[in-house]
Amino acid sequence: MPAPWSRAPLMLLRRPVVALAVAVGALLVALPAAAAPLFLSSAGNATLRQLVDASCTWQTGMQLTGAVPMRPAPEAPGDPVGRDLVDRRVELVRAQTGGLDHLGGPVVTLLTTASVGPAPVPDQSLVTLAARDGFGEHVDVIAGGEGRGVWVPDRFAELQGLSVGDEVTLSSRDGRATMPVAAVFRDLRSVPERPFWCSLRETVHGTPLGNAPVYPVAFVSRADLLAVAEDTGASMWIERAVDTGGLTTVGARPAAEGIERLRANTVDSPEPGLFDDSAPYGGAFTSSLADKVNRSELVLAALTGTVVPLAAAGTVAGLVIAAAAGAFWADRRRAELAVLSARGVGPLALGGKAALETAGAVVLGAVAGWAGARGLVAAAGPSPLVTPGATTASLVAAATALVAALAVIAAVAGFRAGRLHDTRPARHRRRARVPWEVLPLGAAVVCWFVLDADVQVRAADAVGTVARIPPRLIVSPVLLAIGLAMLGARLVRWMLRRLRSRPRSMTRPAVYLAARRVVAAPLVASVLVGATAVPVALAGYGATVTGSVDRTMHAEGQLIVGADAVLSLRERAPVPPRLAGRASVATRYVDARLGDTTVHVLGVDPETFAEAAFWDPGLPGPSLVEVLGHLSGGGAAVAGTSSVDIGSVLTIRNQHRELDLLDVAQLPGKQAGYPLVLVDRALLDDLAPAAQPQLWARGDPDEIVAAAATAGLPVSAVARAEDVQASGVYAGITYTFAFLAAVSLLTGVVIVVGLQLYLDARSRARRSASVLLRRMGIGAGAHWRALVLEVGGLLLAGFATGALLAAAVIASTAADYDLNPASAPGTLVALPWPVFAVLAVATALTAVVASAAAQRAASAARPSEVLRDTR
Amino acid sequence: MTPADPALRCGGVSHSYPVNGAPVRALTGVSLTVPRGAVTVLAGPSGSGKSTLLRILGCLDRPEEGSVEVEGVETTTLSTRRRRALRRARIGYVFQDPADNLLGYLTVAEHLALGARLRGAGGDPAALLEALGLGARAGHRPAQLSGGEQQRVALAFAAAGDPPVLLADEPSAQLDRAATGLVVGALRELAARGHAVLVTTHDPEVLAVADEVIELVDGVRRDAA
Repeated sequence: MPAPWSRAPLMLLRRPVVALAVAVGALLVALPAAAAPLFLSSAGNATLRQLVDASCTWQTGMQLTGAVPMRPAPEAPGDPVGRDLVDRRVELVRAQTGGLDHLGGPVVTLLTTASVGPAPVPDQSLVTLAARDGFGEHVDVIAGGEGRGVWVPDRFAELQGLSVGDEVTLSSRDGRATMPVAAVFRDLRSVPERPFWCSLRETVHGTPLGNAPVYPVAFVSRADLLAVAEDTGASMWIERAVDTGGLTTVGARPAAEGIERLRANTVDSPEPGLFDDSAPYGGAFTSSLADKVNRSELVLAALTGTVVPLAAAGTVAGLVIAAAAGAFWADRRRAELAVLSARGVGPLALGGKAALETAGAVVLGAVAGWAGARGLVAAAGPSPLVTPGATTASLVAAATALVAALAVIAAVAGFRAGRLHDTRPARHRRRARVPWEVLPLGAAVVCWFVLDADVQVRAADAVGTVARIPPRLIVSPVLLAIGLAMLGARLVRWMLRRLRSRPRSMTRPAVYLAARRVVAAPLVASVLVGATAVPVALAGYGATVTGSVDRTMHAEGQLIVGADAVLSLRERAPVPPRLAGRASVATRYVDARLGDTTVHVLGVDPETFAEAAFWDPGLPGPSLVEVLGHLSGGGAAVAGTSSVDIGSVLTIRNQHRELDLLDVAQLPGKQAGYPLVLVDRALLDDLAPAAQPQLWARGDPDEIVAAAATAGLPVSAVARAEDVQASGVYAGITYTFAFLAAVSLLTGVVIVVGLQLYLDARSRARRSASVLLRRMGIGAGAHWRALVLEVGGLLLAGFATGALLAAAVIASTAADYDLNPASAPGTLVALPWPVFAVLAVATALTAVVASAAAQRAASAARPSEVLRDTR
Repeated sequence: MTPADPALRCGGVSHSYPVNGAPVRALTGVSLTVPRGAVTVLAGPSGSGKSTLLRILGCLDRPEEGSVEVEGVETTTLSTRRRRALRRARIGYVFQDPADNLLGYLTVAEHLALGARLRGAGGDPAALLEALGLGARAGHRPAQLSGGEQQRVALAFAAAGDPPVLLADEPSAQLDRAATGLVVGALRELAARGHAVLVTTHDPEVLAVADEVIELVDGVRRDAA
């Protein structure tokens, strides 16, 4: 007789449906367990990538700056100067390679100021002269581009009448060099900014509200620049950009440490005469990579508190399916288990038999679960990159899930086999009366008070804070929904038991059959209702939290800035034609007084301002359109006065104006610190003609800036609403949304699999019933309608229960959806009607498709075989 | 225990089943003894409580009231684990449907080897098969056997490892006359080997070979009624 472990693993091949159920159960256990570490790693890497992309790559990598004197200081006559100094610094940086795999090669920039002559417009002859490695590949050449000479921007060339080949003299105080114009390129100020030039942003564009003059940037070779700077010297930058390809939080850490070593070996303990104080100018070293890595890890920490409980919930849901698969196996092996149990084989041995038989399918399922998790994260995760440590952790999680799934299958199978004979029904009945549902409900309450409610995670060091969805906002509602669903299932079971004993008059056969089938199996029906309610409730709740937090954060960012983009202008200009219908010109004055209180005043065009400014219908008080209507009637509005009466006399430059003030809760552009008074622009023009002109616009900020540049608007600064959330502070929130959506999807899959198991488990009885009913003259159509009513009725009851549960959970937690309570406007709830509609359609579709499949199987049965099959 | 003591004894056994929440009486105060080396038949119409009593005697169910002794061991007070061990060592049970007694993937010989292994016994399966007229079927699987052969293999499976008590629930219910004759012969053979055989039936052919017939009517022994 072959050993059981040699025969058992092959036995499931005879029952492919059971093998499939077991494999799917194991997959559903392994997938969320394995996904958590992969997702967290992916989110961390995506955060790092986002932070790196959002800032200047040279400043993230390394930026070493220092002056280049052309003559040695009297106290250090031997120190290197000029070209020698430049070369030795570059060589020093090049020599540092340890851990710097993710940094590009050094790019050297020398800068000085020079005058170009001859110049027909002499008061605009100054340029910022730059020598930057590889500059020619990063400008739009209009003419020339070959040979030695100076590269001048097109606006400057046009102004001074220069063209390629013209001989010019570049001069500083005593230094000068004569050379031809080698190329004319498009002025860097008139083209969209490219990453290559980001470290020269202030040189090219100046600083907003800065007083330093901004000159056109022209390019020469390093040798020519040093010749021109013979007298004044130059400033020098050595930069290395971060290579984001394959950059992970784990890989970036050695790079950050390598950068710190570079700092230590250059600026902090330099070679004498290169950067130290004995040279005429010391050096400065900048790198933000370490800060960004720290912040990414902080986001990871913030995410862990929500992702891990969600993954655990998903794993538990998978274990429920694995348990159902174990029960399914036991049902399909009932006769054999009954034989063995009658002969004294215990539940432990029968559980072991189940484990041996299902091990192959469980392994396959777990492997598929891990591969699915890896594939999902790669395809739909925040970043396709995961660290090797996360891969190992996910493999360990999948292996643990495998063991857990096998243990659950064995335990359930053994338990069911042990109950085939010699049970104690009286005790079981008593146990069944215990309201176990109070356990998850009690746990929900405990978790609400025990778990962290903080919406921010703070770092131990100085990298700041990041926002997160607090763990209790995830864990407690999930437990609450599960507990209430179980309670609802018990209620359904109780009601069906009451209905079972009542005689029913025969209505239509399909309705009668469906109703009797449901009341005949109250336990199965109630479990199906409860099991459908849980994913519906979780999906509804998750989508509501996602939408509400997103809507609230969006409103906060928009209210601070006022619109998608607000462009500060150096002088007044009309709305560019491309932005007509979604832009408005306003003026802002920041030194006004309302009564005794300092206020900001925003002068707007009441006709067009609502087309450009942000407003959410969920905001309290009168709508923006109503406020603007008040402005059109000569009135004004004020926000941010905290209900304190601060008077109605507006004072600007000693001019006083009595206002018909409407006190409102919010106004777009209301920045922290000062109340904002909204007036008709004509009024502010009258009181403060020099107020800061602004262009408010709705739409893609990049497109708005491009339209303004095309129209020649003198833009001095750009404020974008999206930048309010671009610091990485909210990155964790976004990723939590993605994970919530995935978990909702997973729970949906769980319910579909559960339904299939339910239908399959009853297929034999249904086949017999179908055949018998056919003999009684009830056709296949009526049988199918009965199936649709049976399955669809239960699923729709589950859907309705789930929707009610979601509403209850949302009502009890909505106040916490505001992750930045310090900023207006507070929680704006976004009910996900499309999600509920999709869920309803999916539920109905599932009912129809599952019923059709079951009907098909029943119709295919041969009466002669079915009627002989009495078991 | 002496050989003269009955292998199985029960006294005052009562049992009921809940139907729609209300208890329905299946047995009321039934007492009996089953001697070794004899075929005892439990007869009675359908619904009289024969199978319920057999399951209780076979430690597959617990009675609400009464005592059950197997080989002198009171089973009603034992833990589930001890009752299971008792089933494994001392009771062979044959269900009514042949398919409920056999494992489809085991040959006849493997069934007997498994039965003996479960009881931790050796024995000679081949001799038992020969005695039951199944010697030529040792390498066959259940699907390759007739209904009568399946039921005789079930008896052999139950008797493998020599448990002192053999219980069979209407073993001839699904068999024709010829097959029933072979099963009856097998029952007699097993009793001759010293097993205490208790069979439920209302088949006259089985009743004919009984050493003792106990009749149940509505859950009560007829002589007691």
